[in-house]
Amino acid sequence: MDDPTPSLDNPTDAQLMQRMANDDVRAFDVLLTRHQTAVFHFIRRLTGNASQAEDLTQECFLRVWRARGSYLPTAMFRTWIFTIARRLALDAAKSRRVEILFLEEEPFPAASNSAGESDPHHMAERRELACILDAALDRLSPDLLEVILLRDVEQMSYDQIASIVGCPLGTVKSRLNAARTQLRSAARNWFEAER
Amino acid sequence: MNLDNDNDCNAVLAELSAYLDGMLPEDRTERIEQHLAKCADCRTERDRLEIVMQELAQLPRSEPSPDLRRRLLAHAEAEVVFERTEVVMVQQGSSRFIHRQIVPAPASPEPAAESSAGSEARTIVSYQSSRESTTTPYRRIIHRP
Repeated sequence: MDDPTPSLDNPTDAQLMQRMANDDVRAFDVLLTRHQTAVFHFIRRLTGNASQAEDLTQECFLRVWRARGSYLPTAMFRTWIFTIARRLALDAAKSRRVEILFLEEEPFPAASNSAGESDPHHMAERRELACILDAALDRLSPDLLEVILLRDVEQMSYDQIASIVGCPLGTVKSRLNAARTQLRSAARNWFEAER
Repeated sequence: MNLDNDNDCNAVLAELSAYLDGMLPEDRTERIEQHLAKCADCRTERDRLEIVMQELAQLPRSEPSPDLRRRLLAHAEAEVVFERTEVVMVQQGSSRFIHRQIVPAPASPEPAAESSAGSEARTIVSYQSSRESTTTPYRRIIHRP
């Protein structure tokens, strides 16, 4: 099950897929609201292009909709949809390698002001670190980028990541370590200034 | 980094990420904790890695345009209508015309072929599922005298 506490008001992804198998478009709407931002963000990071990411996210969810009749409730929905999203992003990247050299520059999204972060100086420092990490993510190789997005942004388990990426658990571990080490190195100056 | 413990430090740093995720076996976790207790440099690296991981989890996500949801729902609606649309070809004398009608939702019992043809149809010569049809797009061909 994808959701720990399913209820009538909060159906699991598998329950929504079952309703979609009966052509329930409202169930599809709930699924979209639940996952579209995560899927879009993942694809945008992998492709580096927002407009292409939007097209691929649309394709990804259309595939989900069209597979509604054959979906097995035993399959972990998030793992499945991120597998589709990853494949679409990689295929698109292969077909536009030259364009990728000219990644569009997008403004860094404004961070939300979460509780306990009212100190403007602290917020400014954290925002600086966020910008550094955001830029460092763009410099990671696709192999490292996808595992760190799935782990540290999507909070997936190593098993789920291994399944999505199609590699052994040990490879997930070593790629994660390499990715995090690169990000930590990118932020070294920021850390030194913090001391 | 403590030069005497360079090898220890390298081994610990190589596993720090998995350690913070709780993905190491008990004996290796214990060894890393023993090393961290006595190595300030590795503790610093651990703290930095933790901050990086926390910050990544809080990075703002880019949002798709609000139009995406609207487009997808419209696609889904249209596909349902398309899949439930029955296209019949009616042959009356020497002229033919096409008739489209929406088939009820799957929950309702499948109507008998003749009754679903409507009162206009006199004879049903053939019936094909639109999803399986390979030779003609028409689910039914109705011949009228």
